[in-house]
Amino acid sequence: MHNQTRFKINSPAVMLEKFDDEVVMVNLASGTYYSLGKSGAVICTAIASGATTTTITDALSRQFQGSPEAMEQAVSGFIDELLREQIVVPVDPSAPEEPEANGSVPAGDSQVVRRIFEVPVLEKYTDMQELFLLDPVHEVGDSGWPQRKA
Amino acid sequence: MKCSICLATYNKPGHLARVLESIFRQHPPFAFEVIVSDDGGDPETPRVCRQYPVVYHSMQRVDGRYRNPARARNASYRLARGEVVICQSDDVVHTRPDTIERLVGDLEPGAFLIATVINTDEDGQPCCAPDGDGCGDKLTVYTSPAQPRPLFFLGSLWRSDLYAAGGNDEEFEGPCREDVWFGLCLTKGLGLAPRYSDRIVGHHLRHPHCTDHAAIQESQRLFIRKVANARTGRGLYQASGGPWPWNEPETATTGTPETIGHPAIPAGGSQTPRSVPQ
Repeated sequence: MHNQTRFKINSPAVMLEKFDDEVVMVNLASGTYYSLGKSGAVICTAIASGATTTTITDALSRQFQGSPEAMEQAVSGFIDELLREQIVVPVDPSAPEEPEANGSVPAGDSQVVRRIFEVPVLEKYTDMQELFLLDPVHEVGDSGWPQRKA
Repeated sequence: MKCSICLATYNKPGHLARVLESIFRQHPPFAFEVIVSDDGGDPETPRVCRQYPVVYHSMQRVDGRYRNPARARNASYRLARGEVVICQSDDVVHTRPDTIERLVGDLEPGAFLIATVINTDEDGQPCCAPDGDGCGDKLTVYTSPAQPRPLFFLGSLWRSDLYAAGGNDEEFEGPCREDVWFGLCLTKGLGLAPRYSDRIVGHHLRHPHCTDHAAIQESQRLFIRKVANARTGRGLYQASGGPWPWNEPETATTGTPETIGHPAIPAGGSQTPRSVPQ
């Protein structure tokens, strides 16, 4: 369990983009594209804001119908998956807090009917791996590139 | 007009001169034109272009912002009159006397053609990658059948397909991902098949790289958003401006192109260029 541990998006290797109903992440180091909807999108958005697992679970309870214990277990398992994919990394407790990582999670619209909680699913795509990894023009170091052959 | 060779250039007059030299040495059996869209402020660029029979267009940047390579390329594409458009960078030299002929002749309907492009040093000598074993056998290859990337360092496509894609997406305001997005618009948007040729070879001349990391990151973000929207149906694999009408080419809106010499090179006879100033 990761109750009070904070995590953060593994930037700059991972870029996260939010849409109305989806969160998309690309790991620029591996070229892997991830898509999240529903509870997964809520969790990743909360992680990006620096929320703890407890805060994330509370946020899910406000937006979804389901057992808090099941949500907590799902969040923990999902974070483990995000760690394995190197999408998130633990936050160093001694590091200064980043301005945008205030740990707050939007309360959500109280008028909206809560959806049934489903275990978050991390959809992973590698069909564009080559294109996301591609950056030949900028793969130049300070010493210049390419080097002339001997 | 069978072929238009279109390129945008940004402050690389030395490289551009070598590229134009390599183009005008050729004698394909059809008429072709060369259109150069100048997106930089180096005064040497128009002087270099005046040595060759090109259509020269200067991009007018009203607010002096960083270059927009997509807009510059589109300016040249909109001026094109050829049935086939050869799209290339301003730093890729044609290595064979039949490069233009092959880029046109090998192009199939329903496809676009990407040449093998090898990175070279300033002497035009192929170089090994920095993490190679020093044997000199490992070349830095940008595109090839073994490195199939839909990037137009040097390639060709039907002008009708280029216009259907809407050219390059001008929402990309700096260099980075606009070329990759263009490739996706052709493959996933129009269903075109990329063909990678080892019969056609270009040499990319090394140059300083872009160091505007903020611009690069912004380009990355935009690319991810466009891909995400297209994959889910919220958007299309298409340039943001939509397809261009298929009609007579427009006069560029950012300035009247300057026609130098005789822009249409007749079949089988390229104009002998004046000597390039050192």
